[in-house]
Amino acid sequence: MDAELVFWIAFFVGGYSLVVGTLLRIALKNGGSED
Amino acid sequence: MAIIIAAVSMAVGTGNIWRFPRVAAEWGGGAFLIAVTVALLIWAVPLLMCEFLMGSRSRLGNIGAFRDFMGRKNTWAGGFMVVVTLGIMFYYSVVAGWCIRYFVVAATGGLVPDGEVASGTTFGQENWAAFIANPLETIGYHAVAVIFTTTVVYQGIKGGLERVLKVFLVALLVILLVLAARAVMLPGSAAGLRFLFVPEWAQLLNARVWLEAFTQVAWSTGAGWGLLMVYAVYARKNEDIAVNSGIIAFSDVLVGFFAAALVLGTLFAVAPTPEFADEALGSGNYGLTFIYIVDLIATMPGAWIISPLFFLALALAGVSSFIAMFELGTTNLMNFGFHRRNAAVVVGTLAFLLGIPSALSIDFLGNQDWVWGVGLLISGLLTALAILKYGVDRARAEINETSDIQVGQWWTICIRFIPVVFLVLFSWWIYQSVRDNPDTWWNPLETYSTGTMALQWGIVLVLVLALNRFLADRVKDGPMTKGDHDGR
Repeated sequence: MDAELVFWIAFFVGGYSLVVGTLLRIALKNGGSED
Repeated sequence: MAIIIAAVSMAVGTGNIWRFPRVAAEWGGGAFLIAVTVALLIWAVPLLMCEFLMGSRSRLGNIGAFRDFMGRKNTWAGGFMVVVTLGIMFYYSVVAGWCIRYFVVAATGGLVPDGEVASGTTFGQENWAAFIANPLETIGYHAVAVIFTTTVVYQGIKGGLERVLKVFLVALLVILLVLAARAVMLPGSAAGLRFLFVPEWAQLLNARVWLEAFTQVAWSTGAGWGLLMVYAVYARKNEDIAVNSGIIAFSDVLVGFFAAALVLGTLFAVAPTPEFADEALGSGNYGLTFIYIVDLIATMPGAWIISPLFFLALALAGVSSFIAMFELGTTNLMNFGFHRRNAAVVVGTLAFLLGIPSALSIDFLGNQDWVWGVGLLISGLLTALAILKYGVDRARAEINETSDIQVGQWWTICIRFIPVVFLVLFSWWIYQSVRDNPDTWWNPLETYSTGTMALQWGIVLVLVLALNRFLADRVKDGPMTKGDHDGR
């Protein structure tokens, strides 16, 4: 796997994981049970 | 947390596994992913927020939510949305049945060639042709999908859906991660990953890439389907709308990355030639999955375990999305006074009976996919119009009441911009239909014509408009109903 490919995989998978992870952390902080 | 699990299960469907990899590879890899990210922010996230707000505030299914947000005169819009999503459900249960069938056959060793195949054909082709021509099998597995889903929905939200979807989502993610990791380690898989991730920058100037990205996002995230609107009815009243909508939209694409790494990595590592890989990607969702992938996995070491795991992932993704559509029908019936169990049995019976034509004819299934798939864009437009009618700034203020992340003016702009996006996407689909069928585009009896869409949408539109008063009067009241607003 060349460096360019590794960069773009890290960019997209890492970027999306960061967004989902950050939002999940906020959601879990506010967690709680359903009605 | 339960709402997030349910909603992500709803969004992650078979399209993440068989459509996203194909379209991403075809339309510029990383450039397509950039376009997808923009489409998430302009179309999916704003619309998911609208749906969440409508369900959460009205505490009613789509018909009641549209009545309370858009006014009694526009209750028909909720009816239209319900018919479009149920129109999809009626053939989707057949597709879920195919996935279950392939899992069962793979798990019992039936997807490994054990004899000669006729010349000019492959094991995958023969297996698919024999299955699809056998109505006992296609209807039988369709029935399995319907009976299982009816049982889940019959048992209620906590005892049924939440319990099953939690297991399904975890199992799906684990299987996809394991198979994607395995695919990435295969020699030659880097070629497939390049197709997926490395941008062809020139493609960003290609209008088609943007149209494909918006279409993929509209179909894959569930935005505009009305499904999140229904799940939001059962969520806490103060659930964080902005955060949850973001999680749903971005998780959907993230899961798509893993599925695409699995499909494209395997394809390019195992395909005998690059031309074969191209041919597989051009063979459509069903051709790629049920023919080419069957043939390719059969040649791999460890096929006995990879094949059942792949089709199990596909079945889990398919059935969890089917459950969401089924729940939409059930909740809306419950709003008309049905008990959940009776409503589930009615929806299950209808799903089985109205799915039979799709189980018997792949052309009929293709027609329904075409008519209601494009119809989803109309549902998305109606959702945005409901919020515009309700007051987009008022809606934004209500979203911000419960959200840790404050939604800015960009959301208001996106909602006002959605009708323009709709017009462009919709016109493009109509243009394609006319271009591809210059002599028959008007013919309502042609499978993929504009005429068949116009006829079927027209019938539904006339029916829901005629029933508008009945729907507005009969759907039960929610917490917003008594606090009259403009248009009531």
